[in-house]
Amino acid sequence: MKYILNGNNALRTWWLVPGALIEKESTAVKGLSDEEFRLLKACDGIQEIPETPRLRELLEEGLIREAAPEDRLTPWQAAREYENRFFAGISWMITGRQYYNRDYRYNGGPENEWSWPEAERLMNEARDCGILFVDITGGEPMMHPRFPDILKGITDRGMYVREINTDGALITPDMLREMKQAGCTPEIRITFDGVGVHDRTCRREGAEKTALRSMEFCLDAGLQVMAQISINRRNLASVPATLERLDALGVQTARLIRTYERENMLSTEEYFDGALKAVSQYAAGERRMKVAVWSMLQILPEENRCLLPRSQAAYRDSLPVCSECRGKVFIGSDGELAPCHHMLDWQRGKGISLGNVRHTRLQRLLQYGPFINSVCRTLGDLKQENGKCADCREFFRCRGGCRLSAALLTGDQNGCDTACCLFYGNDYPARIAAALPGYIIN
Amino acid sequence: MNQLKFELSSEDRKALASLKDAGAIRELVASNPKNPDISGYTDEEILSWVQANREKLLGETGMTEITLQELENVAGGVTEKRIC
Repeated sequence: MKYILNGNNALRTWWLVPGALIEKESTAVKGLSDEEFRLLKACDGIQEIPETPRLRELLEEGLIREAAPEDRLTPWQAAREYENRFFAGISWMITGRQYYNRDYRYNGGPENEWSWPEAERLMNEARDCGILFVDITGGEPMMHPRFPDILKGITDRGMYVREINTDGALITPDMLREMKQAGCTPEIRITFDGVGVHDRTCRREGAEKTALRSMEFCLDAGLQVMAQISINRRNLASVPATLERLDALGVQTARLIRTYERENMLSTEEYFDGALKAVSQYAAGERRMKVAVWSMLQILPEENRCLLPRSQAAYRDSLPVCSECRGKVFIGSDGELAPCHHMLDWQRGKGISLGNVRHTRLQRLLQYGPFINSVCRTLGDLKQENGKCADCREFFRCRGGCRLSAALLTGDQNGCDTACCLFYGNDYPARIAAALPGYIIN
Repeated sequence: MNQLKFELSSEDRKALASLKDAGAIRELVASNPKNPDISGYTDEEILSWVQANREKLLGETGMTEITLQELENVAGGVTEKRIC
């Protein structure tokens, strides 16, 4: 009998991952034993395979089916071997150009932009490294003259666009329709500074109305929307009204994140207390929209659950210092690699380069060297470099916090994330539980 | 080559154990000036040395555990429901 792999699955191998099963448009990657890998590799619709108990299990799991004579694997399904470490995605700053001249901005780097030939080369390289998804960011990515071609280019190469980070000013229903027709259905993350504030922070009359209208366009098109709200002293008071408005609009998620600009920056305590007050007020009503507060909490009102920061994986010294950074590669508009979006500015300020894909092949940078050493640093490494963290009884919970936060608050990437120290030292988990009655905290 | 001592980070060791191209191995070793010069060795000698020392380079954890950790480390940041 001949068998064939389910159309949504494919086999891949990376360095240190000798056999894995991936799912189309998903980050779910399952490690396989040698036997499973060999068996699934034979499920190509061509080879005869003897029936075994394991084969029957794979049939029952829906991973394979009996092959019809004309059944063949699609090009995407062909087993592939990648000569680099495994990274699920890239976060790609396709342009540094901004639409609004904002009060503050992350990624305030040079206004470089990927030319189309350079973009095509990078998309090819990402495909050849086994990258599964691409998060698009900027600047304002929709300012890139080949924005639709980039989305199509990613999809055509068997990767998928997971999210687009945008000001939303250039979103139109036609654009969304074309995007969906090209098989691209990302989450749209729209920057929104708040009701009654957005025009001022964007320095453009009508910016608030435009952002909210764009969210509606995306929701009408059936796309998931996340509102990204950067908070500081200028807009903290508007957060409760903003959350209410976004929930009423049908936005699925809002994310609050503090800014670190010199003027108007909230102290850590002001940030935690202000955000908790706003979230508590929001959660008291009947809500659907999820709210995440960076480095603090995430509430899921429909499940009455509140998730505290850090990975759910059981503690081990070999966990990476940041699981988010270990999962995807950030690539700036000038080709610089960074552990994350926000770390790029810090690196630039310190004159640190972890590699640049304009000069070096992505695959080479994902094999060894400064970038790999940076994102693969472990909690065990951090404990060796930071005696205070090593001796802290909360380390197994806080897991060193956020390295960007440590860098920005102490100037030292290996320093203590003092925001995290305050979070546990002042028992914010208990304060959160008290502020969110009826919520299960975990 | 067995007498040589290399200065390699734990990630460099994993890379060394995975590289199949002698040129790339030379480049990796040369990336740290503290490492001994291996230009006198043939490609075949270098690849044989890597092959023979693969387990040692990967350390005590063992390949199966390393694979599980690699998948879990990547998945932790991209598949969990929580948004940091």
